Amino acid sequence: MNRYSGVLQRFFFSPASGEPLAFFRVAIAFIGLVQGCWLLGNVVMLYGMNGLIPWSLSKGIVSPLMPQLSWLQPLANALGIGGDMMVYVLMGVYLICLIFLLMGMFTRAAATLAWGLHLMFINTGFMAAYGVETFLHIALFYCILMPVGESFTWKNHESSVSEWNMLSIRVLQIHISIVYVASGLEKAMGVQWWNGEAIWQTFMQGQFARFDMRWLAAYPWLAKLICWSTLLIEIGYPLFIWWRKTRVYAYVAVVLLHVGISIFMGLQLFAGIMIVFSTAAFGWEYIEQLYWGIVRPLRERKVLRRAETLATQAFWSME
Amino acid sequence: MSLALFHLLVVALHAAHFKEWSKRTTWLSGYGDLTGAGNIFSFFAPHIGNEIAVLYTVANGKSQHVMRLEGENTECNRRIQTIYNFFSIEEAQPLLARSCAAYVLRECPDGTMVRVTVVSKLVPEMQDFRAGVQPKWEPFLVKDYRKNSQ
Repeated sequence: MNRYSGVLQRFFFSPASGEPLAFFRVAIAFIGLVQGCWLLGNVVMLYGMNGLIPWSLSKGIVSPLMPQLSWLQPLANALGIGGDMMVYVLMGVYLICLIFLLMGMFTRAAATLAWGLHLMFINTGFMAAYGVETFLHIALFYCILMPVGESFTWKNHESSVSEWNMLSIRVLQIHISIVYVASGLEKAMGVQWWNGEAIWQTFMQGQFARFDMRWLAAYPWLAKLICWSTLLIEIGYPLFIWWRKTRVYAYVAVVLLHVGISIFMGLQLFAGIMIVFSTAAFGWEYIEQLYWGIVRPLRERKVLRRAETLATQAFWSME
Repeated sequence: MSLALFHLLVVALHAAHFKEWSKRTTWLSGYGDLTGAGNIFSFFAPHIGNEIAVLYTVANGKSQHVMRLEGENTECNRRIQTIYNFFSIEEAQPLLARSCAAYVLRECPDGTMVRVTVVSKLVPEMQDFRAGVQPKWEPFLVKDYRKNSQ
C-alpha cells in the first residue's frame, strides 16, 4: 500500500518547473485576446440582447443556474445604459482581464473574472460556441486554480519549482489524453472515418474549404489514409504520448494534425488552443530543446558576428 | 490530489456522455458546466453533417432584396454557421427561423417582411463524384415573417 502511495506521490508531487504553466497562461490569454478582438465588431450580433439568438431565447433554453448576460440587465438599467452597450463594456472588461492574465498581474483575480465573463458569453451565445470556446473555458478555469502566475510574470522573470506545478501539469496531461481518446473513439463510431468520406465531405464544404480539393475524389486511398491517421493519432494519443520513447513522435504528429486543420480548414484559433494544451502538457521539453539547440546558438552566432565586426572597426580606427 | 482526481473523473464521465445516462440534471452536470469538465468531444463525429446556409429575402411592398448575414469576418462567419447547424434539428427550426427573421428585420428597418430560406449542401460520395454527380444546394425550410404593426 505504501509503495503505491509512494508512486502516486512521486507521479503527482515531484517538484517541477513552472515554465510550461507560464507558457499555458500567456498562450491562453493571447488566444483569448485574438478571439475577442476578432469578434469585437460582431459582439452585438452574437451576444446582444436582440442578437441572432436573443437573450429571451437563450434564457429559456440554458439552465437558469448558469450565468448569462441577461443577469446583468438590472445593473445596466440602473446605470442607464442599454443592453448592447453593456455587452461592449463587458467584452472590454474581459479583454482587460486577459491582458492582466497574459502579463501575470493579479493573475488569479484576472483569471476568475475572465472565466466568469467568458462563461456568461458562452451561455448567452451558446448556439454560436464551438471547440475553441470549450477549450478556452477549460483553460481559464485551470488558470484560476493552477499556479500559472508564479513564473515569468511582469515582476518575476524566473521560473518557480514546486510540487504544485507537477500536480497541475499532470492534470493537464490526463485531461488532454481523455479529450483525444474520446474524440477519436467518437469519430471511429462513424463509417465516414473508415471509408475516407469524412475528410472528403469536410473539404467540399464552403465553410471549411480553403483550397479546391475536388481532386481528392480521384485518390480515395489518400482520403482514407488521412482519416485513419487522424484516428490513430487521436485514439493512440494516450499510449504514444505517455510512453517516453514515442512521446516526441506523438507530440509532433498532433501538432502537425492541428497545423493541417488550421491551413486546410481555416480553424486557426481551435488549432492554436489545441497545440497550446499539448505543448503545456507534454511538449514543453521539446520547445526548450529547440530553443537551446537551434535558436540560442543562432542568436549567439549573430551576437559573436556583431562583436567581431565591432572589434574589427575598433582595430581599424586605432590605426 | 483527491480534488484533482475527482475533477478528472468528472471529465472522463462527461466525455463518455454522462449527461445522456439520465434525464435528470445532477449537481455533477452543473459542476461540469461551470468548470469545463462537462464536455463531450464529438468534433466532426461520428459523421460530417451537411453544410447549411440561410438566405433572407427582405421585402417592403415596393422592392425586395436577398441578403446573407455572413461577411468578411471569418471568425464571425464560423459562429453564424455554428448557429445555422441547429437547423438540422427539426424541433429547433421554427424558433431559430423566427429569431433569425427578427434579427434581419431589425437590421433592415425598411423591410416589412422577410422570407427565411434554409438550404443544405448535398455533397456526393467520392465514387459518385467521379461518376459525374455534382454537389448541390437544396432548400429544406422556407418560412415567411411579417413585421408587427406596433
